[in-house]
Amino acid sequence: MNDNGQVIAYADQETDRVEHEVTVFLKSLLGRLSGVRTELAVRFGDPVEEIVREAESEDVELIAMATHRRKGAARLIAGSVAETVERQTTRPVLLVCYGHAGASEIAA
Amino acid sequence: MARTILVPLDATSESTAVLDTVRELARVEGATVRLLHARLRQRPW
Repeated sequence: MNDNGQVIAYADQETDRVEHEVTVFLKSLLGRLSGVRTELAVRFGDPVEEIVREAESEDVELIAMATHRRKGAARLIAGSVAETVERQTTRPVLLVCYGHAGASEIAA
Repeated sequence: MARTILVPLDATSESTAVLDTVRELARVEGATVRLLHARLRQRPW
């Protein structure tokens, strides 16, 4: 609703629009996964909670995420979603640091 | 049950940096890759 009290969009319409945009984005990545079975999922809620919940599905054996791996004060101020998920999940996590070619680590 | 690798993405190009590694891993393991995008529900008002 805008400042004049006019309805611009209903919440479910906005959710549908966002879900469509995200699905288009995810489908655009499938070419980079050629030869591999893929599934797409869109969830609404706190990203860390949703990722951890999805990861607890019995068929998930690994979580793989990119991270920037901030250090020092920057890490304290803005810890990444990836690192928070790593702390909260029971699943193994593979973190690939972008901006650092070949840098990766696995946390149990 | 088939193995699944969960790949959370935040719709930035940086988050997709993991895909090349995941593709090779999934091919070797015969795993399914589940791309997941999670975000806070936006309210239009």
